[in-house]
Order: sequence, then C-alpha cells, then structure tokens
Amino acid sequence: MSKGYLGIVLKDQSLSYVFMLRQKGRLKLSESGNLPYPESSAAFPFVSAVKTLFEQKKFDPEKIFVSFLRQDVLNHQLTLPKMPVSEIEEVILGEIEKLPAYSEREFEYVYSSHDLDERRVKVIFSAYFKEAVDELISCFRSLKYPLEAIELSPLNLLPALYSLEGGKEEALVVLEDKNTYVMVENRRCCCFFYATGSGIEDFSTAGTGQFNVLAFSNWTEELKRIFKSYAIEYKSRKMSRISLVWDKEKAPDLDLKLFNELNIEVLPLTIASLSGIKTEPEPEEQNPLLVLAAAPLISGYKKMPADVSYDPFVHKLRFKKVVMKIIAGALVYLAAASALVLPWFYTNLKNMNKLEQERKELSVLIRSAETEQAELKTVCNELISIRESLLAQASFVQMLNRVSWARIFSEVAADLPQGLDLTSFSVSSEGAVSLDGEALKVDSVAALMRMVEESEVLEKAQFDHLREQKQDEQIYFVFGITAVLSRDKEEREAQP
Amino acid sequence: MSRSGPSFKAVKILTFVFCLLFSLALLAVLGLQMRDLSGKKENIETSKIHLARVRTEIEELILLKEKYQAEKDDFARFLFAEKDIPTFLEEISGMAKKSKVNINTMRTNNFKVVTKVDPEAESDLKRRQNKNQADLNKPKGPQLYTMPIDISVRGEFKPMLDFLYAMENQRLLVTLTDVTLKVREYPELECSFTLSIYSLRQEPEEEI
Repeated sequence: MSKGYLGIVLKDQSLSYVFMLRQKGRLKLSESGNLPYPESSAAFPFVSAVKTLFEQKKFDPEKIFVSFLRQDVLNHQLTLPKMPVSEIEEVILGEIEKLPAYSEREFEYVYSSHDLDERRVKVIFSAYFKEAVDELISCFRSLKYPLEAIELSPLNLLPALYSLEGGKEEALVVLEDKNTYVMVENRRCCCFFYATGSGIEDFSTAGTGQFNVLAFSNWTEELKRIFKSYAIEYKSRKMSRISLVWDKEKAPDLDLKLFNELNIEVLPLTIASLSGIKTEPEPEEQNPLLVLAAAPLISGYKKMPADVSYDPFVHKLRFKKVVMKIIAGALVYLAAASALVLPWFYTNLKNMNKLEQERKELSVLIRSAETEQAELKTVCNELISIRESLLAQASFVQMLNRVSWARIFSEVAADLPQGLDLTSFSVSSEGAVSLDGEALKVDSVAALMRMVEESEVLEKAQFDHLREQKQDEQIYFVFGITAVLSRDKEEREAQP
Repeated sequence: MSRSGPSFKAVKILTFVFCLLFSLALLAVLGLQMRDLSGKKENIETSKIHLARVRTEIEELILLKEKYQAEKDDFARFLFAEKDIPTFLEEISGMAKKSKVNINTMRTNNFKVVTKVDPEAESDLKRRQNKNQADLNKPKGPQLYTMPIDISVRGEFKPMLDFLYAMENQRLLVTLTDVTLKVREYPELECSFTLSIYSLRQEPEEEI
C-alpha cells in the first residue's frame, strides 16, 4: 500500500474512512468506506473498529486524522456579551457541566468565537470525553500509527466550508443518522450553529429504498424555521446556497428533493468540491458523507487556517513530538546561526590573538627603542655639556691668544721716539702692559705717550712714574708707562 | 475541567524568543568582539606611530651624537697629544737655534684644567645649565687641559721677534702670556714668557 493520508470519522454505529495518496504534490482519493462497529459491551466500540480497519486494510499512512461525529459529542452555540477569553471559557465550562453526563466525567472542549457586533460575541463549542480521546490515543500508540489530529465534527468542517467559493451567505447542512447540524457562514465566519435531533434515519433507510415523505417534510420545515430564525437574528436576506453532507447511499437524490422544498441551490459537498483536487470516482458519483472523514485531512494537508484549535485533544499525543520538533528546529537554527557566526567569531579571535601578539612585539620594540632613545639622550646631553664646556674653555684660550707679540714689539720699536730707550716691556696674561725706560728729554717721553695712545694695539696709556736722575753730570729721566692691550681693535682685525 | 498544559503556540513563542535572544546574544558578543578588535587595531596603529617617532628621534640623536663627536675630533686635531710634547720641546730648541736666540731656561709644569672661562661664555653656559651647577664644576667628559712652559731666551731684537713669531704660528694651539722683554747688555735682550700648550684629557686637575 502506498504512503498517504488516512481520514477517519467515528460515528455512533460505524466509522467512515478515506485514504488519500500524495501524487505530484496533489491528493488522490485511493480508498474509502464504512466499517460498522462490532457487537460489544465496550464503552468505546470504535477502538476495536479502528483496530479491525488496520488489520483488514493494511494501511501504512503517513498521517492519520480522526474526528468524532457522535451523539455524545456536545455541540452548542452561545451568544454572550463581550468579555475576556478567560471568562468566556468559564461560561463554556459552566454550560458543559450543566449536562449530567459531562458533570461527572472529565472532558476536553474546543470553541470558536466571533464578534456579532460591538457588544456581543457568538461562541460555538464542542466537547467530548477525555477518557474516549485517551482510549483512542492509546489505541494508535499500540498500533504505532502516526495519529496527527483528533477533531470534533461538524465544527472541523468550518475551514473547509470557508474555502468554498460561494455566495454571500451559505449554509452547511450535515445530515447525520440521528442528528442534523446547520452552520451558516458569512464572510468567512461561522455566525450561526444549530443542531436538531432528527437525522436521515428518520426518513430514509439504506438499501430498502423507503422514503418517509412526512418525516422529510417535517425535517425541511425545521430547516426553514432555522433559516428564518437566522434571517431574523441577522436581518438577512434569503440564503444563497446550501452545501449538503449526507449519506448518498441512504437517499440518493436528497439534494434535488431539498431544492424542491426550499427553493435554494443545494450543493452536494464532495471531496473534490471542497478542495478542488482531482479525485476518483468523479465528484458526482462520490458520497458526500466522505467529506466528514476527508475534511480534517484536507485542512491539514492544505494547511488551512484553523478556526478552532484542537490542541487540547492531541496535546498529550503530540506535545512531546511537537516540542521535540520545535527543539530540533531551534537546534538547527542555533547550529546554523552558530555555523554562520562561529567562523567569523573564530577569525576575529584569531585576528585578536594576532593583534595581541603584534602589540606585545611592538611593546618590546617600543621599550627597547625608548631605552635606546633615553641612553642616546643622556649621551647627547653629556656631549652638549662637554661641547659647551669646551667652547667656554676655547673662548678663554682665544682671548689669551688675541695678540701677536712679534707685531706689538715691532710696532712699538718702529715708532719709538728719538732720545729714548726702553729697558723693559712686559704684558701680563690679563693684558696689562708696562713700559719702562730712560729718556734724555721729557718731550721724548711725551712723544712715547702719544704714540701709545695712537697705537692700534695699545690703549689707555698712563704715566706710572717719571723721575729725574743724574749720571756723570748727565741728567736723564726714568719713566714708567702703563697701558692695556686694545681688545676691540684686535677683534676687529681678526674679523674678515 | 482545565485545558491541559502549555499550548504548542506558547512553546513555539518560547522557542522563538529563546532563538531571538540567542541570536541577539551572538550579535552582541560579535559586536563586542568587533569593538575590541577595532580598539586593538587603533592601539597598534598608535603604537606604530609612536615607535616611528621614537626611531626618528633616535636617528636624529645619532646624527647629533656623530656631529658632536666630529666637532670634538676636529677640535682635538688642533690640540697636543701626550706623545707630541717631547717632540714639541725639541722643536722649540730647533726654532731658537734657527732664530739665533739662546734659551736660558725652559721649565715645564703639570697639566691643569682650563677653568678660567670667558665671562660672556661663562654666563651663557650658566644660563643653560643653571639646573645642574654641580655638573658645571665637575665635568664628566674630556676637558681642555693646559701645560704651561716657562721659557726665558736671550738674543737681539730681530731674532727675538722671529722666535716669537715662530712660537705664535704653530699648527697646534699654543698661547703666549706674561711676556716680559728686558734689555740686558745692549743690543742683547732677555725675553721671558709662558708658552701654554693644550690637550683634551679626562682627569681633573687643580685650577690654574
């Protein structure tokens, strides 16, 4: 058996199933049928029917979608004033627990709410026993088949109903064996829900061909009342179309009969009309009842936005799986993000290490260079100090060496006046000049004074002493003259 | 009756938030790392610039050192080395003989550091080194030293001038000070003077 999706609807006396195969991205109806429950005193006979189905058909489905359409499933609608979700849930719980069957047993419930107007909200809810759901989950666990969803019909038909391209207001009528459900869709919103206690078994029996016209007439009258009630509540016009789900085998031309009674277009709701997918047999030959089994499957396959969350039913079953899937997805994301970032991070780390190494090397170089610089600065400062010291010493030496003695003596000797002898000529290192001599006349001494004053190498001439002396009747003068070496003149000469 | 456990949506939101936080943490770590990296690069650039500046200064200091060394060497070329002194004393005798004067006496003294500096140069030096007066008094490097040679010669005037001229015009640095010229027995004169020769030396000596 090929891989595919299996849809099962668990009814009061039997289960219906559809097995659809995935082919080239589309679903193809492979097999469908009905399996009555075995005679049993078990509380939930559908469990053994499911086991029998898998034993007989050897299905190997990828995903299994199960829905309950039973009398003990509670379906109800409420009109409430606008209130917080928690309060709505409180009200729903209260409504459910009013029923004795539900007040004594654990149950799970789902609901859908839509704003009627600014003040009111329409709530449609379904509830079913937790024990039955758990039993079903245990059954699939023991069979090791992948149970994907557990839903409650006909509430789970809403997404499929919204996908129809109908008129402005369209009704979905689900005619079950002993019940009829009416839902009215307006602008992709189920604004009306109604359940009656009469079903197809009240006016038609499969195989016998008997059709109870009176009962049928009563049923249609009830439908008319329901639509009238809807029209009054919503101040609406006439219903534009009715999508009908029923067991075609029990009443083959029910759609035509209903059209004749209500004078509203009646569309047998088939798998093909629901999803627009190719099916075999052709849509007109299909039993609309299969829609009940196929609708959750198609909704799941086409990922239609759910009007009602069935998480509470499959929570126990799927939580671990979903959490694991989410964690796996998160891990993949984290791994991908890490894989994207870690090389960058690693490269940065490597670059940082490289830069740190470079910084350390630079620090060593800088320290070494700074040490060398400091040493050189010390050496240079010492050299500058030595240079300046030597310069000062050299300047002093230059000052000492500023005169040419040969020149001074030759100049003095050349201009020495007549009648005068120098006995001594001395110059100290400080530049103090002392001239001693003898002269026959004072005029000669005066002439020497003038010569010294006019000299370029001497200046500041002064008499130190002048004494008259006599020797061999000859009078002569002993004199002493002081002067200083002319520094400026010498320096001027030294300059080019 | 309660609706069982956390919904799938809540788990998804939690996981999404965790992934988002993880991504933000990764980005934050990466951002911090990038900031550190950028800071390190900036530091290295600054260090490189600093190193280049220090190296440039080192090159300048080396050039300065070489320049001062060259100046010192140039200066030293005009000064006496220890080995030059005996030769120079012989040269004095030769020059006296050549100038036809007689050397009466020639007495050499010990080397002494030249400390009596030119007043202008001294004040300039003090101005630049006022922070370290001790260094001025105790120079660390080579100093200019002088060795005074007291010389007394006899001869006539013209040969005396030739001798003095020869003394003054040495290739190496010499100074003639305390010159005294006296008449002995005319035309013979006696000239006494102090000839100082100079040398660069390290050892400190007593001041002149």
